[in-house]
Amino acid sequence: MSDHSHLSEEEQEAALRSQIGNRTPFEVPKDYFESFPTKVQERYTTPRKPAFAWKIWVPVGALASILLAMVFLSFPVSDPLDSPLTAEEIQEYLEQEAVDDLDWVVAEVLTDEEITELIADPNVGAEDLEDLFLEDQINLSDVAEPALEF
Amino acid sequence: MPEPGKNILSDEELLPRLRDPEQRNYAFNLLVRQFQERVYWHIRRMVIDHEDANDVMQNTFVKAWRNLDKFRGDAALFTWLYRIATNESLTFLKKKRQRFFLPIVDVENELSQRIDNDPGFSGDEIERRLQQAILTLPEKQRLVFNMKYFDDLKYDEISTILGTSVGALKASYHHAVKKIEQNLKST
Repeated sequence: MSDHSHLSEEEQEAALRSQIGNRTPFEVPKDYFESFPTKVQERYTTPRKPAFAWKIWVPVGALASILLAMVFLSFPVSDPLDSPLTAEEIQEYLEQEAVDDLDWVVAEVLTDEEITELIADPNVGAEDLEDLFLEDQINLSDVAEPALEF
Repeated sequence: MPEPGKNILSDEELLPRLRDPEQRNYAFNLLVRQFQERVYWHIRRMVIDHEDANDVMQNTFVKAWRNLDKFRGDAALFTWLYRIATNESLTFLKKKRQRFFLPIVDVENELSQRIDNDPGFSGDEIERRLQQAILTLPEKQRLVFNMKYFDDLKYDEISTILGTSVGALKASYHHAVKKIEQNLKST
């Protein structure tokens, strides 16, 4: 590799491009891009299984309570009843404690059997859990991704 | 910017169809076909492995579908998709670290080793070294470098995607190019 340290940024980039090129050197399986639109369409047009909801409907209340309790403990206020949590506080807590992986949080309130059942069900993903939060008025989607609105 | 060689629809043509409930499904399928390759390569350069890239790509388009109503059209559709893909890629890498209790450097080392063993790697030795040098960069520097070097995006576009100032991006890219130069010289 030649020494380009004396060059400007543009010249260094041009030197890199001329020596190495800017092709991404990975392959994709044959016909991947032909079949992908249909595959992903199956995912976004398939209604989510309603039968799933009852499985964690009871635990989700407990889960929400645990989350709120943890947030209260992390943000001490003089009188919690007079100071409802804001979306920012919940977001800050989720970021600080890295509990954005809902699978882990849910695991705290489900029995081993229920967890095994959920993991074995190919139709149950983190998004299903997120939806249950949405139904429970904890809008994680808005909290986590305000950036989508533009 | 759409995929080269495809039937190209402008945002002005796609958006009304995406907003019409009767045409939404078909229009979204067109959108996927139009942007999938660019989105895929953006993700693949971040997560390296094809299967992981496929998962992140599916999540990206499912999330785009579910958030279509939030897209107001203030930015280009591809910019919006890039932002979702970027968020999904970073979330994927973060979860990977959390699941395996790996610090950042170990994840990047693992990805680097994957390049060595990946039968889907089609580059020569210098391209391999470039990809591995890119993996030594901090995550956001890596994103900036990839978008500028491989995707030829303008700083303005990257700024919209990442929500970072153009000045910060220029500095970030400058450092990235320097580090890669040094890394390639030393290996």
